[in-house]
Amino acid sequence: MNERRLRELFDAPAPGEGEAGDRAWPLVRQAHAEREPAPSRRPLRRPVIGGVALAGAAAIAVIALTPPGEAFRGWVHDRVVGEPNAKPALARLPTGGQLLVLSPRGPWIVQADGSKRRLGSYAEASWSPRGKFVVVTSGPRLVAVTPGGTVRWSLSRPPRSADARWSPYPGYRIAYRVGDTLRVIGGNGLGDVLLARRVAPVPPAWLPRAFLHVLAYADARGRIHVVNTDTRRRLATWRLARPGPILQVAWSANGRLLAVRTATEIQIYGEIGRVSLLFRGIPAGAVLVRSLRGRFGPLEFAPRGEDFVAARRGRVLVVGARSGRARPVLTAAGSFSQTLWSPDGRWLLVAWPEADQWLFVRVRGTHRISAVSGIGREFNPGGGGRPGFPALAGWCCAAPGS
Amino acid sequence: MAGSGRDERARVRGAQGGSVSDLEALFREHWPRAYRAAYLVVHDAAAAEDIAQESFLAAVRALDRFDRSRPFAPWLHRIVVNRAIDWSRARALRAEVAEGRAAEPAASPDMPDRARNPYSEPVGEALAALTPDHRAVIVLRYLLEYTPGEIATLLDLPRGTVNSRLRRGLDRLADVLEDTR
Repeated sequence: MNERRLRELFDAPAPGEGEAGDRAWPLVRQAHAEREPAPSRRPLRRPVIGGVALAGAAAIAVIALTPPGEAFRGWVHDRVVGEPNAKPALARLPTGGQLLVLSPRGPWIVQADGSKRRLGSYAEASWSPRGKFVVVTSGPRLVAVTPGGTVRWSLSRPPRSADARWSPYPGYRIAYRVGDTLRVIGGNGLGDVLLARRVAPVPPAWLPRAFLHVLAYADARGRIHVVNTDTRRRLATWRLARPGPILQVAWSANGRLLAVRTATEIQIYGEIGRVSLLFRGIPAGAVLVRSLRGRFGPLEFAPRGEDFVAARRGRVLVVGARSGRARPVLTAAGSFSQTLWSPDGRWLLVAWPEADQWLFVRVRGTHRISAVSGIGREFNPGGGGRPGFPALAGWCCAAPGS
Repeated sequence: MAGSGRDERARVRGAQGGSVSDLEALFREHWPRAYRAAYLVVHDAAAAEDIAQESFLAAVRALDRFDRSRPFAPWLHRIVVNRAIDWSRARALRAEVAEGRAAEPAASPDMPDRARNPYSEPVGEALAALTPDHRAVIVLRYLLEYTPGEIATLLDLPRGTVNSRLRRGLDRLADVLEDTR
């Protein structure tokens, strides 16, 4: 009787089935249009690479031809092995700029010609806006170093400094966290000041292309704040449309949109600080313009416009933040951990820890994929044991120091 | 099995040759069962959408190497079910089930009337109470209608293991349904 009830259950559409199909079809059609037919002479040698998409580990499975087995001979294994044509070492970056990479041994700078230098034994690192400095943290220390490794200044804020971010507006300001407080250090007599208490353990985000030092951050109660750090004036404060632990806050390159990533979705807010005020003294809020459900990895906005890139398990998507339109640019078995835009917005760097590879994907002009293997060892030379896979901390500035 | 026979081979050949209409026919025919299978294994609408969508994308990218003399559905279903099992195991490792996410279908906007949705009726709830491995073999057997031998090939399992999971899964379903009366 249970079998009959099961069959009846299976005859009914599952929740979300139709809508999910409507969303999936355009992506499937696009993948079909962009696929690259396998060469007829060597059909079993190449990985499945489809124009902008790459299935890194496809191979035809050969199944014993038992009566039931024969029907399944055409199946494809999709196990993770990585891109087989990967270069064994990082020879050069496909376009200009410098990469900031965070390995278990500390941060590294990778130049466009592939040469690299370890900056020291620091725990975290991020670029200054034009790549002239790297701000690093290690325990209580907050340190500004040049890409050559020279320490310019440092301060100590026990017990531990973290998530330092440098303002893009001239007249330097660096926001950083100490425990659950948010502090800002800067020139022009600002010094080192406490900006907020009870903040979430999430890096703050400076408003790009601004004429003021404006910072967005999340507090421990799930609210977003946008503050002028010099005047302390609160420009906007709002609660998430759908609450959830906040993992990341990021501005679009044009500064018009703010993305908030939670464990289950990305929420895009606009009209920040422009919502009409009913009462003086109450900060304005923001308008939710789009949300994308799913467990996304860290997102990064493109150097121009309102597109962002993020990985969702084995798929890298370039998403129009306002439209919500997602364009898959890379797909493979396994999952990708991080994605970065090149400074010119023409390439993406995709980290693939399971394959110990980086994939450089050209997303403007002719699509190309260039893979480099052995990334863990690359940033742990001479190290013993299994090297940890490094994190990507930023790809900066075609003309460093400008 | 849906999607078998001469028509399907013609559609696969057309899609391999670049025909969007043939591709769409394949998609429309196979999406419901692919999604349903994923959903019944993971019991999470967002994850089911990801799994079914990524499985189709993987199939499309490998389409040019697909042997047209073979049926399309088993090829697709293997990808779907294995990914769904992997997802369920990963979720179990992250202990998310303990946080109550397994009940996510109840929050789905596609379920305005829980009482009228068979997935929220006792048999659906009972299926959700099984382990992913047991759910997978039951979905393959009773939704996708594979024989135990075919399921064994699909999941790279001994046939005896498949039979035992089917038996235990059905027994467990009976127990749960009995408890709900």
